[in-house]
Amino acid sequence: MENIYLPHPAIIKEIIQETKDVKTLTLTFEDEGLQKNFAYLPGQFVEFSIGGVGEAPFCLASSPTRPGYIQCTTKKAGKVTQAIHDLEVGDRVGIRGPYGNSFLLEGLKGKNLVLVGGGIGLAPLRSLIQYVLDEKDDYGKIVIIYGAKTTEDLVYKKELEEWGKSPGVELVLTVDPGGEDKEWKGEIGLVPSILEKVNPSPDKRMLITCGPPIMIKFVLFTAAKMGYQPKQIVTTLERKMKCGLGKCGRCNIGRTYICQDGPVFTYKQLEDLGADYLA
Amino acid sequence: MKRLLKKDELEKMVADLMENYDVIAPVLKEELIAFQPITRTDQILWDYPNSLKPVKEFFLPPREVLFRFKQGKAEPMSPAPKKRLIWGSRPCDARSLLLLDKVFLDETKDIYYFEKRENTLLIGLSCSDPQESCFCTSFGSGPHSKEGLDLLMTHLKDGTFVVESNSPRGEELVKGRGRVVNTKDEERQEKVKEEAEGKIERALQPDSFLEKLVNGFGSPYWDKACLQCISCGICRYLCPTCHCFDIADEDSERVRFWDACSFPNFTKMTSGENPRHTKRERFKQWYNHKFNYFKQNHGVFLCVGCGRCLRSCPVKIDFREVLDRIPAQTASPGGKG
Amino acid sequence: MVEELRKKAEELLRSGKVEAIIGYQRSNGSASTTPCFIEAEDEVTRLVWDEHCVYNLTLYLKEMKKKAGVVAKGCDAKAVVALIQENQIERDQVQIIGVECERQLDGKGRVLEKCKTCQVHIPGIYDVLIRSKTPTSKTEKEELAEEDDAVRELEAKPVSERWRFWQKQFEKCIRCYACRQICPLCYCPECITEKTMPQWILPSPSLKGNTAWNVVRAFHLAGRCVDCGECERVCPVGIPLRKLNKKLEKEIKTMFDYVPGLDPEKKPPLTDFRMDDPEEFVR
Ligand SMILES: Cc1cc2nc3c(=O)[nH]c(=O)nc-3n(C[C@H](O)[C@H](O)[C@H](O)COP(=O)(O)OP(=O)(O)OC[C@H]3O[C@@H](n4cnc5c(N)ncnc54)[C@H](O)[C@@H]3O)c2cc1C
Ligand code: SF4
Ligand code: SF4
Ligand code: SF4
Ligand code: FES
Repeated sequence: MENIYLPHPAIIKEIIQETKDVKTLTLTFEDEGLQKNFAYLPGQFVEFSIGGVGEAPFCLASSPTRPGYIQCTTKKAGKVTQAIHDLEVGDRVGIRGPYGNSFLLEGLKGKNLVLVGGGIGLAPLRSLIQYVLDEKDDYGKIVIIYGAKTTEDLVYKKELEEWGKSPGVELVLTVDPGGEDKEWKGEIGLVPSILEKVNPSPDKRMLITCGPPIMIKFVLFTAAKMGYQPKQIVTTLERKMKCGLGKCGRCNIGRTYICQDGPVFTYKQLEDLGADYLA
Repeated sequence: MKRLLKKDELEKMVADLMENYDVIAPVLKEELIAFQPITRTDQILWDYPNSLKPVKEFFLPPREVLFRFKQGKAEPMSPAPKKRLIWGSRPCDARSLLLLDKVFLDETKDIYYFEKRENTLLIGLSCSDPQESCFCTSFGSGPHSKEGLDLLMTHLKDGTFVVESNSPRGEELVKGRGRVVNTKDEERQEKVKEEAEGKIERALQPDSFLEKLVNGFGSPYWDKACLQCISCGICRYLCPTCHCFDIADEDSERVRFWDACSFPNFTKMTSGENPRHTKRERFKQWYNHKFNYFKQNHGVFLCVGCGRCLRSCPVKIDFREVLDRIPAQTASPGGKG
Repeated sequence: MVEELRKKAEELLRSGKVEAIIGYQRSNGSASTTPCFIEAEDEVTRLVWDEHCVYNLTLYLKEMKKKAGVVAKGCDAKAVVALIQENQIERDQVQIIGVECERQLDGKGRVLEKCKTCQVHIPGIYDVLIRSKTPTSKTEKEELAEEDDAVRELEAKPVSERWRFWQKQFEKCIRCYACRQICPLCYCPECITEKTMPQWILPSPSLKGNTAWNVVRAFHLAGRCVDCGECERVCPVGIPLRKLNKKLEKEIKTMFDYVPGLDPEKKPPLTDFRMDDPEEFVR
């Protein structure tokens, strides 16, 4: 019988310092077979272990369309994330997963997309963006709206440029007022108001958003005002998680366990959940 | 098959079993009733209300090492212990394991729990004297239920016990011991059973709780109901069906240990964000988990009526009253979160 | 006494001096009681007072968002003093309904240990006092003698034996934190047990973490603990926490000549640094 809590050894191949306190780690499983067979979808997450320190959940920031490695982008916040930031290339960590549902890809196929991200919330969206760019024929036009507090806090800077140049993609970057520097050519303002300004029509479109809870709340509000139906809006929820398997009992909203039935939900599903989150 | 054994025959049986099994039985330890591995049969309590901690502690221990890390690699602890036998478990505790099975053995199986379950025989002892706080009969179970047990012993109050097997493994244990019961023995057993059931005066209507919990999720009732609660972990830890756990690394070990939804920290994230940020939310979660969410997800209520929660609550919150008093009302828009 | 208590409670609610009364009510038809929160005048009949009123209700003051009245025994009232000293509550936000108390009984009908050495049958601080018709007969001297006995017995043992004793006790701890949760003076918004950087106290119930937890709990209350004994009463596994508390209380008394919970104007010694503090403590 498989040990569901067993972290599988993985080696750090590359570390990218995204911002002062955000790093992206590229990992490969030591077991080649596992690396080959590690099947996942954008929106899923893993439990990331450092032996003797602990475990923490991170979404997969890479896309299964680019095999051979996985990536997680982590922000320094506490014990485990601090230890992750102290790691070096070649170090061994543990990974178990993938867990959770995914970005409901069936529902996105054939649609135009608007992806709205804030801060490190771009990590799961990046997985989706890469996926969609690699399977472009299946999807319509893409608008990416991404904001951070300051220009320093934008993640995936190099990749953002590439996305902006891809055909069929409109990229809008923004920073909070006061967060701009002299060279800044993007927008200045909070993500929800930039969304309203860009005003992508809800026609045949799905809106996918991820970021700090307060931002998500206002994006949901703004999108509704713009005419998006609750089932056209997709977001991810964050909860404290330990097992990722529906057993440890802490991530539920009502009878729904976010680690298994989530973390991705449509706004419609959230309404049905009656999540206090929306209050 | 039912057999009749005298107490000394049962003690002989335990002594024989000790050769092949670690025998765990109720003993008195500094005024507390506890299940513990025993070495002598005279340690066994033959007549006891119920243990402070439920027998879940032998399947989901308060603390359990999952892995030991060597050079960053996790080495699983070999979970298989010597074969064990729990002697004298109360029927409610045995039933609680069937509920825990739904969490740990359905879908994704938990190997640590699984191996302990496989390795352990359960010998039950019927209750002849249920306490005021017991309400097992509200769940289709009862003080003489054999559910989940390999053997059930019923004291006929004269030093003899009817021993009834409920599994092939149980049958094997008792085969050839004592004598087969006669109709008279069975009549006496029936009488003891009826007497015991008669002592349980309180019958709850769990189905009505489900409805009231769903409709009353946003009810102001909870604002007041939660006031007394001090948010400790006692009811959760001592409940035989509560199974929430935490996982953390201590030194170079990964340990899993009991956690409780009453603690503010249970759902609090590093950012300080806490989805269940008030005592009211945390208080409600427990009742909903037992009588609403678990029922909806697994088809049964997550309670066996052992009464530990109300016996042990340091401020004497009566679990039954809290549920009974939820006002019946039509669906509220307050949500289900 | 009960009638008078209800009358006073009713008056307090009617006058608008308080919006809620925290008191004792019968627990579900049994002899024991459970805390109750009364907001309407006609509910005061739920209030009871007898020897089953064990709880220290001042615990609830810190989470009360409205002006409240609280029924307080002598030992409980000391906690109010401490809470005022530590700026956790404001004196004019709370009405103390002091009750003269002879003794309280545990679940098995035995007199609580703390009551055997009680020196505050009449609360030291109150707004309203409900006197007993059968006041307690013990003289102050007798009480003091008993007090010393409890601690001396512990001190008489050699250190190694004391250590073994406590290790055996701490081994039992299940980390339910009832001792912390019931304590009126444990009010830190984030308990040290919840901190992960550094992780001062291992979170799982092992001897190592349990020892750290129990020692830290006792020390953080040194000079502040008012000996209401609630932690020991609620501990489900029977760890004699009062023994630890009393020992520290004695040390503080010897060193700083300070007894917690008596004078709202004073500061507890370990929260107050003075140049003439005895140095042995800071070594
Ligand atoms: C599905 C999901 C995906 C996530 N994806 C990312 C991501 O891509 N990048 C990123 O930087 N962060 C992500 N997070 C948040 C990240 O998990 C927490 O910041 C991290 O667990 C903090 O761990 P710590 O040990 O540093 O914090 P500490 O406060 O020292 O420890 C808290 C411990 O609680 C547990 N925990 C589990 N979930 C959480 C949580 N949500 N918040 C806080 N503690 C938690 C962990 O075991 C953690 O070690 C995600 C969270 C979830 C639930
Ligand atoms: S909820 Fe209470 S009565 Fe029900 S199983 Fe748990 S402890 Fe026993
Ligand atoms: S034991 Fe009582 S006080 Fe403690 S969490 Fe449970 S209900 Fe609340
Ligand atoms: S009440 Fe007792 S068992 Fe619970 S944490 Fe305190 S000392 Fe440990
Ligand atoms: S993380 Fe354990 S139940 Fe969801």
